[in-house]
Amino acid sequence: MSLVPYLINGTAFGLSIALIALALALIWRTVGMIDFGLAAVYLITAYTALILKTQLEWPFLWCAAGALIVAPLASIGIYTAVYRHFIKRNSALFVLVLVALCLHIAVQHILAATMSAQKFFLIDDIIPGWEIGGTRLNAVQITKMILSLVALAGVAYFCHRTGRGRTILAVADNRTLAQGIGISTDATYRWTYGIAGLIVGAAVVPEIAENGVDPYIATTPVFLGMAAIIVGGLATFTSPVLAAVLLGICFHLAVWGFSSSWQEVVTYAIVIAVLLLRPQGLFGSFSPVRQRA
Amino acid sequence: MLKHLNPIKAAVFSGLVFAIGSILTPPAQAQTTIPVGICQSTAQGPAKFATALWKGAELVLQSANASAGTDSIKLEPVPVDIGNNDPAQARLSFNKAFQVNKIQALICWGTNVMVQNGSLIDEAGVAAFTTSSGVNVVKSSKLTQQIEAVTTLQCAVAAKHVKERYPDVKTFGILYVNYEFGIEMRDQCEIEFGKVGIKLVAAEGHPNAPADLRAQTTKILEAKPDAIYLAPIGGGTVPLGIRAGRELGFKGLFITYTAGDTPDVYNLKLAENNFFFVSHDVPEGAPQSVHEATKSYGGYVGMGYDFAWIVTSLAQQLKQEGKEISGRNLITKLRELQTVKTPVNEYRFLPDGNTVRPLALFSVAGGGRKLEQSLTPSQLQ
Amino acid sequence: MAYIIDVLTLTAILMIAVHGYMLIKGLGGMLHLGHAVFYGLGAYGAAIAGTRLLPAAGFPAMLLAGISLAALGGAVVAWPALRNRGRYFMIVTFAVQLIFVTLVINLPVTGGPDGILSVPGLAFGSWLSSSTGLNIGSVVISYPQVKLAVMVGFAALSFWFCYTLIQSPYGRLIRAVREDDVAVEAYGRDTMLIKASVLVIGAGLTGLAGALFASHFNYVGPTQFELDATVLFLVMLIVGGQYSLLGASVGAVLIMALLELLRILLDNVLGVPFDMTAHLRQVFFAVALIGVLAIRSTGLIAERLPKYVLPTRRAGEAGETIPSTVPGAHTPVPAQPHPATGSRMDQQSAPVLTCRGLRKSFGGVTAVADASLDLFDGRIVAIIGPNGAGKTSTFNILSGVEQSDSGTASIGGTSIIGRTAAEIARLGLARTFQDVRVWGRLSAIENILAARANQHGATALGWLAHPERSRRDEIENLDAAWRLLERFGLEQHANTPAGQLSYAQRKMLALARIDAFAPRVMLLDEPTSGVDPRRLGTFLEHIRSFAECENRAVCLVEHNMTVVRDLADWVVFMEEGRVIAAGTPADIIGNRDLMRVYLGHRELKVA
Repeated sequence: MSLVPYLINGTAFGLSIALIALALALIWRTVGMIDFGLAAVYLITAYTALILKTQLEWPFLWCAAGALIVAPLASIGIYTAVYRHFIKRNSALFVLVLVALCLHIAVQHILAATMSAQKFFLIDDIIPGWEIGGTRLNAVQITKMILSLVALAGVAYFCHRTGRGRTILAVADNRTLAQGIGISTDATYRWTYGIAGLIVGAAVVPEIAENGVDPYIATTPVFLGMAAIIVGGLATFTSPVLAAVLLGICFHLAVWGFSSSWQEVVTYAIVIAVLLLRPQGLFGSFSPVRQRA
Repeated sequence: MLKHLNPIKAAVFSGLVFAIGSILTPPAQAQTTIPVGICQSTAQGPAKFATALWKGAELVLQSANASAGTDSIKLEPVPVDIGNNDPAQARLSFNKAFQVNKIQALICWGTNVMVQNGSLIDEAGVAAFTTSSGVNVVKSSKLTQQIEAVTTLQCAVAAKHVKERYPDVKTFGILYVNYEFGIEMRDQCEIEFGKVGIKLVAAEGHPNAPADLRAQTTKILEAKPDAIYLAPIGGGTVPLGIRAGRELGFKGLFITYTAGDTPDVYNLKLAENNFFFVSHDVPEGAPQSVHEATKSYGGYVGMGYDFAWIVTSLAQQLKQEGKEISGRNLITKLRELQTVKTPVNEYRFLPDGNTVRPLALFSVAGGGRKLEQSLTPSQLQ
Repeated sequence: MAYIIDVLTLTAILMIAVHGYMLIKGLGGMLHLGHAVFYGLGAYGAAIAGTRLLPAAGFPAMLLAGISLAALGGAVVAWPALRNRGRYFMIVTFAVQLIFVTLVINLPVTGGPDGILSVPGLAFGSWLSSSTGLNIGSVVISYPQVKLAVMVGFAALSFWFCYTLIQSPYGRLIRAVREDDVAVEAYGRDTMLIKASVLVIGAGLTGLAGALFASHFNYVGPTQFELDATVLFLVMLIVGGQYSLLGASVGAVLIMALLELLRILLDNVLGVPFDMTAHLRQVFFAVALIGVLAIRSTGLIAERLPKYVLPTRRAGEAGETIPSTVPGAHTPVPAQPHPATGSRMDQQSAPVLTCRGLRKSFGGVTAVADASLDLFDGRIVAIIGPNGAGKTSTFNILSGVEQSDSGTASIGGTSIIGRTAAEIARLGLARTFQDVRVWGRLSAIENILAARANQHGATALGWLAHPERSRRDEIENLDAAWRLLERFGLEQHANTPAGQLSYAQRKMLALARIDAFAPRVMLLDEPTSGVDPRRLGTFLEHIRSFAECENRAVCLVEHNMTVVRDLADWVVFMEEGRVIAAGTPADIIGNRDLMRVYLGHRELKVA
C-alpha cells in the first residue's frame, strides 16, 4: 500500500480544516472564547450560496461573492446580537461556549426545518483534476489549499501591517492596556468576528462546491478546527494551520495504518496525547491571552 | 437538483396551511378518526426520508379528506420525534404517542429504535410498520410488520442483478456507515454476493454524514474491486461516495439500496453511468401525485403513501365488520389478508412480521431515476 | 399514565447524573464537557456486568459495576485533565466526549454499534420482576410503578449524599478550591487530589445514574451517550443553577418538563408543519437556553451558603467582651500553639526559617537575584524595598508558589526547595497575599474553617470513612472559628460571603485565616496596605500578638515605615532582587542612603 496518496489527500483535507482553525484561533486569541458559533456562520454562508444559486440563479462565482459578503456580516451580527451581551458582562468561558453551541444547534435545526435535511449539490459532475503522487487532486481541493495559504498570509499581513490589525493584536495581548490607550474593544471585536467570518466564508464556498450543502456540514470542520488549535497552540497564526495539516494527514493515515473505523479515535487521541505531553501545543505556547474562569 | 428547493418551500407552506386547516376544520360527525404516528428524526439521513414518508402519507390524508363521507375513515397524523435515532428518546415519544395521542398505528425506523421498543409496542397494542431493514426487528415485537425489504433481500436482489447484467464483476468492496444498520448490510451483502460467486475484497466504514470519503475509497481501491456497494444511512453520502470513487479513478460499478433513491442522487451526472440501486417502484398506474412527490422527495414517498393507505383500508374493513379499530386488530387483519394491493404496490404480509414486497432496480438518467427492472413479490418469494 | 411514569422515571435518573455534574462543575468549578461519557461508562459497566460478567449477582452488582467503571473513568480523565491547574480540562473532556462514541462502536465488549441488549431490569429475588411487578398481600404494584419508586428513592439518596458532602468540611474545601486553588495550596492542601477526588465521586454518581438507566431501559447503545446528551445535562445544570444542589435537581425536572411540553405544544397546539416538529423542538430548546443564560447566567437558584449560629455559651461571652464592631485586639485570645512551637527563643536561638542565595528569573527578567533571610520564633522581620525589589517573589519562593532557580531554604532544618506550596504549608509556613485572596463565595466563618489544619473530614476518605471523627473535629473547629472571629471583630459578619466584605474586613479576615492555620512561620504580604489609618492600630496589635502571644515567626512585606518601625524587630532591605542591608528598624530607616534609594524609586515611579 502506497503511503503517498494518503499523505496528499490528508494534506489537502488538513488545509481545508486550516481555514476554520485560523478563524477560531483569531477569535480565541482576541476575544478569549471558543466560538463553536462559527458553525452557524458556516451554515448561513452555505445556504446563502445555495439560495443565490437556486432562487436567483446567479452564476457560481457570483454566488461565491455573495456568500463571502454574507459570511462576515453573519459573524458580526451574531457577535452584536448575542455574544456582546455576554462578553460585556464578563460571562464565564463556560457560558460563552454553551451559548455558541446553542447557536449552532438553533441555526442547524432552523435550516433543517425550513430548508429540509436534503443535501444539495452545486456541482453534479466530476470536478477537473490532476494526477499527483498516485492520487488525483481536483480543482476545488487545490483551490482550498491555495485559499488556506492566502488566508494565512492575509491574516498575517492584516495583523502586522495595518492599523486595525495592530489594534486586534494589542487587544489580544492585553485588553486592559489596550483600553487604557483608547482602543475600543467593541470595535476591535467586530473586526475580529468580521475577519473570522470572512475566513469561514472562504472555507465554505469551495467546500460546498465539492461536497454539497445540508444542515449537518458544519460540525466536523469546526470540531476538527478546534482540535487543530489544541494540537498546534496559539503562539502564532501559523501554529493551528500546521496542526490542521498534521491532523488531516493523521485522519487519512489512520485509515492507511488501522481501519477507517478508528479514524476519529486516532485523531482525537492525538489531541489528548498532545495535551498530556505538550499542553502548550506542538508549535508554541497555547495560552489564550484572556483566560476566563 | 436545484429546482427542488421551490417545491420544498411550497410544501412547507402547504403543510402549514394543512396543519392549521386540520385544527380549524371540525370533523364530520360519523367520520372515524384514527391517530397514526409517523416518526420524525433529527439525524441526517433519517431526517430526509422522514419527510418523504410524511409527504406520501399526506397524499392519502388529503384525498381521504376530499372524499370524506359520513362513513369514512380519517387518519390523524402524530409526529413521533425519535431525536438522533436514539432508542431512549424514541421510548418517551412512543409512550407519549401511545398514551396521550392514542395512536393505533405507527411507521418508524432504526434497528435499535424498533428492537429496543418492541415490547412497548406490543404492550400498547399498536400496529407498527417498520422501514428498518434490520433482520431482528420483527423478532422483538409481535405487532411489528416490515414494510421494506430486509438487508438480506436488498443484497440478494443486487447480487443477482450484478451476476446477470455485469458478468465481469467478480469482486466487490463495501463502503458502509459504521452503525448497526451499515454493519448488517456489510455482512449480509458479503453472504448474498458470495452466493453468486462475487467475493468481498475490501470493506471500509465511515461515520454518519462524513466530511470526506477519500481515505476510505483509496483503501478500497487498493483491493481493485470490480464493484463498490455503498451502504450509508442516506443523507448525501451516496453522491459523495460516487464522486470520491470516480475522481480517484474507479471506473467500475457502484451499487446501493434505497439510500440512493433521493433527488441528490438523481441529479448527479456521475451517477448516470455504471450505477444502479434497488428500491421501491412507483408503477405507471400509481396516482400521479405519488409520482410527482417521489421526484421531489425520493423513494420513501411511496412507502408513506402505502402505510397510510393500508391503515385506512384495513380500518375501513374493520369498521364494516363492526370490529374495534385497534392496532392489534389492524395487524391481525393485515396478516389474515396477507396480500394487500395498494394503488402503488402489492404486498405479501407474512405472519412472522416479514413482508414480501415488490422491488425494482433503477439507474439514473435525466435528473430522475430510471426503472431498469421490476420484481414482483412472486419473483422475490 | 405509563407515559407520565416513564417521564418521571427518566427524570429521576437524569437528576442523579446532574447531581454528579453539579459536584464536578458547580462545586468543584471544573469546566467539564464530557459528562455523557461518565453516564455511558456507568451504563456500559452495568450492562456488561448484568449480561456477561456477573449475570447471577443481579441488580446490586450492576450498580456497583456501573459506579466503579465511571469512577475509574473519572480517575483516568483526572490525571491529564487537571494538570496545570485544570486549564485544559474542558478541552480534554470535550475530546474524550468525541472519542467515546467511536470507541464503543468499535469495541466488541460494548457490543459495537448494536450496543448491549437484554440488560436485566430491577430484580430483587423472587418478590420483584419485570413480568409480575410487586405483590404485597392484595395490593399489586406494577413493575413501572415500582421502578419509578426505586429511581425516585435513588434520586433522593443522591440528593442526601450530595447535600451531606457539600455541607461537610470536604465540601467546603472543594468550594475553596473552586474559588482560589493557589490560596488552598498555601494552606497545606493538595488541590489536585481534591479536584481528582471530587471528579471521581461526581463520575461515580453519574455512573450510578447510567447503571440505573441501563436497567430501566434494558438496553445500552452508542447513540445514547453522544455530545447532545452532555449538552442536555449541562442545560439542566446551568438553567437550574450550577452552584446549588436544589438548582441542579430543579433544572432536571424543569428541562424534562419543558422538553415534553414542547413535544405536546408543537404536535398538538401550535400545529407546526409535521416534518418540522423534531427540528423545532431542538430550536426552542437551544433558544430557551440562550434566553436563560442571557437573563440569569447563574441559573434559577443561587448558591446557598450554610448558616452558622454563634453557640449560646459563646454568644453570652461575646456580648460581654466585644461591645462594638471595632476589632477586639485589646482582648487577644491566644490561638492553640503550633505543635512544633516551643518556648520563645531569643535571637541567639537557631532560626526557624532560613534561606540563602535564592534566585529566580522569568525569561530575561531576574525577579530575585540573591535573597537571604532568617526568621526566629516570636520575632517580626520586615522586608522593605522599592517596587520590583523582589519582596513578593521571595515570599512566593518561600511559600512554594514559585520554585527558585538556585539557593537554599529550610524550615526547622527541613529543606523546602523543590517542595510544593501544600508541602511547605504542612511544614508550618503560611502566608497572606498582597491581593488578599480570600475565598469570595465562602462566608467569613467558612474561610476560617477551611483554613484550619486539624480537619479530619476535609478529605474524601476521612469524611467517608470516619464521619464521627469528622463531626467531632468540626465542632471543635467551629468553636475555635467563632473565637477567632470575635478576636478579629468579624463575628457579626460570620455568615457574610467574604467577597461581599469591605476591603479592610477582607484584610482582617486574611489575618484571622492565617491564624486559624496556626503556622509556625507567617509571611504577611502588605497586611496593612489600603487600610484606613484609624484602624491601623488594630491591625498592628493583631500582628504583634502573632509573635508575642503565639510565639510565631512573622515576616512581613511592608511599605508603611510607621508600621515597620512599630512592629519589626529586624528589617531587611531589598533592591533589584538582592538583600542589600539588614538591621534594626532604627538602623535601616535611619539610614539616609537607603531611604534615598527607597524613596528615589518611588518618586521615579510617581514621576
